[in-house]
Amino acid sequence: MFEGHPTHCKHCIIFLLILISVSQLFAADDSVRVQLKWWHQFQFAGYYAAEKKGYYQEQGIKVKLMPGDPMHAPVPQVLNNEADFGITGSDLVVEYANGKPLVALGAIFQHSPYTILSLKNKNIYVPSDLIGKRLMASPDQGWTELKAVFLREGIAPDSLKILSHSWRNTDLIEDKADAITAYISVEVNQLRKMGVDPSYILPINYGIDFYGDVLFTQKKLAESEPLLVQKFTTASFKGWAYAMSHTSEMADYILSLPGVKERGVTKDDLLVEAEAMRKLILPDLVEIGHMNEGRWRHIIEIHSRLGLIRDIPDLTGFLYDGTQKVSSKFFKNAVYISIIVLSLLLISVLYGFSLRKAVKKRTEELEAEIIERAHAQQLLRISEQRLEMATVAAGLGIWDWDITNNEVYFNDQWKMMLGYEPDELANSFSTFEQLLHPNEKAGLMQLLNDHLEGKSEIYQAMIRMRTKDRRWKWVLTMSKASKRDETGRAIRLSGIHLDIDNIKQKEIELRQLSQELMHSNRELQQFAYITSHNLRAPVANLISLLSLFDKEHLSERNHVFLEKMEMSVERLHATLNDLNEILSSRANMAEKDQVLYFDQELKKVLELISEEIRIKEAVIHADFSRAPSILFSRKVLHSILLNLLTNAIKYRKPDQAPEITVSTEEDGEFVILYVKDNGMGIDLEKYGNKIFGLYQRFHDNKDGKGLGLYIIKNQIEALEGKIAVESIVNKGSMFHVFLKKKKLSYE
Amino acid sequence: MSKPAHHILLVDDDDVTNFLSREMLKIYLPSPQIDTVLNGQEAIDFLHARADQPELLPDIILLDINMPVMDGWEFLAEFEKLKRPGFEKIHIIMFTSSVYYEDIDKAKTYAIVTDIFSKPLDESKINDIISRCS
Repeated sequence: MFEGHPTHCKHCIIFLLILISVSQLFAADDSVRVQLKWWHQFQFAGYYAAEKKGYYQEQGIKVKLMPGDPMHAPVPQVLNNEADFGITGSDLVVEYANGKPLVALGAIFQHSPYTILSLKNKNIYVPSDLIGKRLMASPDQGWTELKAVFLREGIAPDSLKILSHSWRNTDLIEDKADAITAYISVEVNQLRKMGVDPSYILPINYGIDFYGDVLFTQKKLAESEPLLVQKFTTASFKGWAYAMSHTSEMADYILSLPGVKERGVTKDDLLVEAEAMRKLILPDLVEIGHMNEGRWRHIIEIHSRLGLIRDIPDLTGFLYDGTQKVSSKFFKNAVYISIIVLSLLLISVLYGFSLRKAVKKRTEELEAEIIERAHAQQLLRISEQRLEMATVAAGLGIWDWDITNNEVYFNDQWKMMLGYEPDELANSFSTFEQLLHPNEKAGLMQLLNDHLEGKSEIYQAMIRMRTKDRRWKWVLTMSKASKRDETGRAIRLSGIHLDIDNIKQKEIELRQLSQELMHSNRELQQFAYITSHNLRAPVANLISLLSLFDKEHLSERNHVFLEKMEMSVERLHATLNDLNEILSSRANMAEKDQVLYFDQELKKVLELISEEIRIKEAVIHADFSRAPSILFSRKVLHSILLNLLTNAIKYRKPDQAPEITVSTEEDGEFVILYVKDNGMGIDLEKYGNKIFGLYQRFHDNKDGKGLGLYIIKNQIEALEGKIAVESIVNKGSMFHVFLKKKKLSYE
Repeated sequence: MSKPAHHILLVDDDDVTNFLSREMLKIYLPSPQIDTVLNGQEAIDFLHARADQPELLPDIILLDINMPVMDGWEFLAEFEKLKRPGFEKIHIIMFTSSVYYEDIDKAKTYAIVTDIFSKPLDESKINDIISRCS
């Protein structure tokens, strides 16, 4: 502010001197009376400031400020020539419309301070709460405006009991009234000070937004003394600007005015009033005195609807315009000169030290801020670039669907994946639908719907989409709703498209290959079946024929041939039986798994070879405590136990009864079955893992065919297990069979 | 034995098998009556022709599985449908060169199949068959 800085003051004085020297050419020395609307309070601070700071004096006018009371309403005072200027509310326009020769000079309060005040314990918060209640109101003091609130709310004013205003807040506390009309900036605070909790209804909340205090005069004066009016108005507004930025100084001054302290008003009260007024005057936003014709029309309209104005008046005479009235060429020049001087002043101020310092400081702050922001932006850019690079490198298509507004976004990669240029495809849901493989559509829409409704956690599918060159390309689409409404329905869905065409093609190839393999495997089995069957029948016949053959009458030589023939046939027969056994054991794999208890299954197997055990005096120990059961194929388990046990008995030491220990152990995904014997052992260095080969025999004079281990190895491996052996010659062997555990749910 | 002489019908397309079966049965059974047909269809025809004279029906049928025209399984399906008087007394023995579990398991699912034996016939098998069928 000008007065705040001595540096500026110099310029101000020059400026003011110019203004005064120009305007004094017109000004007559006038003394004017101003009718305030009420007692001295902060409500009129601007006029006190103009007087105290000598703004009126600068204009060459003497001013007399007259406090108001219920007996001295401003409008009649001015019309009766008891005052030259007055301050009143928006009701001024009603008087004007009803033919009173009045002119509005400027609105001080951009919003009306009128309110209906009550106490919280009376439970009056909205206009309808007042029906049938007692309201103290005064026609001069805002009742018109407040009545508009009731009409707007559809409440007839006569449904309220209107009492004449006593202007005593205590009436509210003493329950002589339920509510009173008041100033939001004054009485609210007064009630609080009295220790009660006020409640209030503000017109602006019900669509009634009137001007508050308006400075006005008579038409006669405005026309006969335009310069005086101009000077008074200018000085008053200037006073207001000063008052609103020096509230403390003004409060002290107001306290010194007659009658103020006597009413019990304190400085704090005045400061609270000032702050409440700030919200109504808006000195930082609106030029003091600003009026808008449209706003006045709105006020007139509301009054007209209330039946307070019969004919909508022309506002040209009502709104004061100083520049129009005083339009001499000289004055205009003076204004231009003022503007030029003001500009010069501004320039000089710009170079003023304190401002420069402030500017420098602010500039430094701004620079720091800019550097910081640039840094943050760079980080963001790097992060965006990384994401972009990763997206491009991964060939990731990105899509985003704002479901509420049905807006769809696809990134360039989304389109390029299908062979299109970014501008060739529209960003819309139908683009996606049209490119989707028709066979995929129904299923995908179902998936999508489920996810939208929140039935699925994620949305994911492998789909075929048509490329620009009319091929079908496999794409993985994946998403998770990023936003859901209160019902759980998705309102925004963002996701990715990943090109999985290569993987998918390989998968298809693999599947075809595996199908072909399965097929040829089946054919091989079939071939083996037919071969063994077809071979077996004639071999069986040969055996029978040989057994029926009359050997008695053969020559010695033929007898030998026949014997060799019999041996060959027998051998052929045995081989075929073995082959059949292997083929059958393969067929067993299809058997369903069941929960097997090792002790029970061992018992069954031992029954099958009980004779053998008895004769060879074999001793069998068992310990399945560490892994009592397994989900497995019974036939395969029997086959394993049978083969290992018979082997252990078969290859016992000649001078010692066989002792066999069978046990189990858990080992991760396996159950290990151990079969340990005290037999002859196998020279593993010599034979290694040949022992599991077909027709491998490691002991002489035994009836083994070298088939058993081969068969169980096949069976175990087909069930994803493995078999191993430890052995020491003349000490014994221990077989480790890793049985792969199956999960129960697995079918 | 309920009957003094056994009446056996051999159903097999292999001449050598039929010849041998006949020889074996003659050795180990007292004067058996043996008829031979070469496939399932001929067996059905054979039974049809004797439907009105139950005393001429065989006691036992030795049925091969792999045969042209109508194989053993098809014969079983046809035979189940016939339901003529006396047919229920006929014992069907599957007689095959197959040793597959599948075939054995499948044969067991037919109520009308008494048992399954693998070729060739020998004395012990013949004794088993006769004891199962008496």
